Amino acid sequence: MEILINNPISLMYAPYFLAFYGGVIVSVGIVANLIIQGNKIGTEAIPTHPDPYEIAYLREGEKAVIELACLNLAQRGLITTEVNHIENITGDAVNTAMVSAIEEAVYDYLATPRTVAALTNSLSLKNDLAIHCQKYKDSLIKQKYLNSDLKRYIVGGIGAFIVLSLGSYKMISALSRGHHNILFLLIMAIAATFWLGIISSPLYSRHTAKGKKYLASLRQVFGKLPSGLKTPPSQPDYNTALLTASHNLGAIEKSSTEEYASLINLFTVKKSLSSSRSTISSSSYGCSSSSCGSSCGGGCGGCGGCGG
Amino acid sequence: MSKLGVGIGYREEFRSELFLHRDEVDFLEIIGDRYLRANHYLQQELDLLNASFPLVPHFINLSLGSAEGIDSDYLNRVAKLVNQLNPPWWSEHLSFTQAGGIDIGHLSPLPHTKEAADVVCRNIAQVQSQIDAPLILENITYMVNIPGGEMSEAQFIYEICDRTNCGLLLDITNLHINSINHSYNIAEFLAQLPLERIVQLHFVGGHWHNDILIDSHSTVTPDAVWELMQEVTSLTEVDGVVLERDENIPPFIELAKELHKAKTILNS
Repeated sequence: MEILINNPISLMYAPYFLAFYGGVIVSVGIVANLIIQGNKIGTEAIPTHPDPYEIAYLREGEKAVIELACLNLAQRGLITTEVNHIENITGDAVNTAMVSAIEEAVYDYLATPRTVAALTNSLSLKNDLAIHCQKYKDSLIKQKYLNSDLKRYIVGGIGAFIVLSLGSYKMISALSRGHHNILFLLIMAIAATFWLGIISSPLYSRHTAKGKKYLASLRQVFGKLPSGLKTPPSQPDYNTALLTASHNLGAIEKSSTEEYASLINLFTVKKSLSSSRSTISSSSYGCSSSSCGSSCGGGCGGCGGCGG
Repeated sequence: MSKLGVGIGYREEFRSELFLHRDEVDFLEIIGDRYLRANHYLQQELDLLNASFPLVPHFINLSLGSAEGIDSDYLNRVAKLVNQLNPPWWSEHLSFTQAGGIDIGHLSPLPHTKEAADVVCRNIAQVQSQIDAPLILENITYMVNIPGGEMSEAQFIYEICDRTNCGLLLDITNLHINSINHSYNIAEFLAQLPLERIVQLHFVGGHWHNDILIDSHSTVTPDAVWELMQEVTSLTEVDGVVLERDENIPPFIELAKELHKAKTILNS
């Protein structure tokens, strides 16, 4: 018992302890972040025929899945867009037999006209879709692209336990010795717990570092896919699905989207369209294929070719 | 050397479609110069290509024929990239692109002389001292036959390959174009080449301009080049064949048809 009462930590002069405590908090935060992010060594090959819904789920979960489902339903002619809302088309001519379970869930939810905000923030629809997206979630966690909830909670929980235990111990120790200047300690403990909460929250750590790198690769690879949108009703275009899944609807070339312009506007009106494109444009990095000297055999045919 | 099959020269323009047609492409030839000073975007692209395809780097600006020698900074970068990728082979053109410290910006033909061959062999020896992966040399097209030649182009190639132990990247489109523009017989040219040293072929189509056939890499491969591919692959075993399209790039499915045809020829 003696060691619990009289030891270097309990006897440590308050300012020194606060410095020590700060060091512990930073160390715990860094370690927790490293564990949650994992390493990103190596680059994963892109599958030959990736599932757009899996990519959309990786990018932004159910929200991106809803966006993609709306595009596919619009191509099939199953939904229409009005001024600021989307609704499904009902009637004898409508055939939902060919749509996926995800698309059917979104289609059913659109029986009542909805705004995009209502659609993407609907808890009931997200819960519905979570069931259909479970296979994607499991697969992406297995491939270490996404963190599991359990892993985040355990890491965050252990981190908070260490920080709060140490803080509480010192606080009790201080109070038992009649010291009541514990305000800074209290603030640090609360701030540290809040910080660890952020580190382990799905907002910050849904993707692992490997997942972020893989998503960046997907965006780079599919950023230049030519869109093959056709007048509805038509079969959903695979290229456009991949482009939308890896970026968002705003990435589709405007010239190919007359029939889909209102749908795209509804989803992208509040987003900065340039943000997604800027990450995929090589010109923004100051290096196009020609400026890097890749025109060894071409591009100068008019002057006699390069002979390459 | 390992047999790679039929590949394509990587161009950013068809990157997206390339990944969706990966089964049609056995390997990629990348322009090494693009990645010598790679920023984050290009490094990420290179990592991704390397993770998805066997890569063979192809360089443009080593200037093996420069009398003043090789730019050591450029060579160091080339060596770093090639050693990093560890390819089965890598390639450069039998030409010069720099003279008197000036970058010509063009693959320029060398005079077919003993002196030029000595220069090239000396430069290649320097390159080989820094890079372990085998270097293969590509024949270029030329508008002007440099006067004063002491041997034919094929003999020039033979001598250099023989003295440096380099393989040959035979650009059959260049061969076809030169044979037309300079009116020579391809069969005689091939008879003088070290056929057993051919490692890789390049093929693509050019275009006509003022009665001159231009190596513009801008059209589908003409029948004459397909026939030449058939002839060369029947004479010797080739480890890799690369479609080198740079201009007027069509939908990838059109390129895939050419790759398929090349595969049929290579495997026949």
